[in-house]
Amino acid sequence: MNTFLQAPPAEMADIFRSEGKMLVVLVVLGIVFVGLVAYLIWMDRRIKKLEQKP
Amino acid sequence: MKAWKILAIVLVGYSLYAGLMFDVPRLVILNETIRNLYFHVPMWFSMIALLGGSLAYSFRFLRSGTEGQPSNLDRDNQARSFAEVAMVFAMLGLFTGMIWAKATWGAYWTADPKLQGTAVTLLIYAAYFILRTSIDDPEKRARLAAVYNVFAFVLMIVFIGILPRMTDSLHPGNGGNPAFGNYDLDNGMRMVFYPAVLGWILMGWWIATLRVRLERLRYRNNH
Repeated sequence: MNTFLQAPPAEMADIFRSEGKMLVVLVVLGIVFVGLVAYLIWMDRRIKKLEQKP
Repeated sequence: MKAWKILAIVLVGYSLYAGLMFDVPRLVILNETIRNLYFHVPMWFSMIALLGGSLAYSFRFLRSGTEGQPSNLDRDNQARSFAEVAMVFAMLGLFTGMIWAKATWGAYWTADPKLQGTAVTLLIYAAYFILRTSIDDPEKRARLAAVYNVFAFVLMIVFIGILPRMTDSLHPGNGGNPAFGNYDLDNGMRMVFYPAVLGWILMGWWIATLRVRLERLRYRNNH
């Protein structure tokens, strides 16, 4: 079979994922997410405190 | 903290990790951008869920004023707050979609029925907020806004859910293009996509309830 007739494989970030410090990106994303969630929880608690005031 | 809020954090956190690290189908043109499915699409699902909540509160407001009972303005506060947070998610959905479109379709915006439909939907809800600010009497404002909200929700379904499916469209899920069909959303992706959708809906619900509670405090302070 002529290999020229086959479609080229889709390019994916294979090396990027295994060797390219992809985990660093994941950790950065994790910090952003944890920060936003922490702020949400903090806001929730503050509102709760205000609600409990007579 | 309520269990559903913890579930929201766990599900979205899981989808961030799995969305980047798990295997996805290898498709030309889409390449790694297929992962945007986990982040772009849940924005729209969250918007629809929050607008559904807003609609339900509008109904409940209208019901509260019947049978000689005083109408419950807090239902109006809930309807307004949910619609507000829904629009934040709509903006996020729109901008993430534009970035994705640029990478795969070659343009940030096209005259595509799905895209135009979402733009019209944003305008319809912009009108909802403008309508609110143009009426001073809280009772009247709540009543008119609630009725308009019913119109707005129906139009949103028509412009996002129905019209784009009746014609040709680049956007998946429309004009014969698959979105959740069996051959392009494989089972591995479902394991990330569905938790992401549920997680983001709960996250949006959480933010909306915070908005509601803040408005209640403001109301209490002023009365």
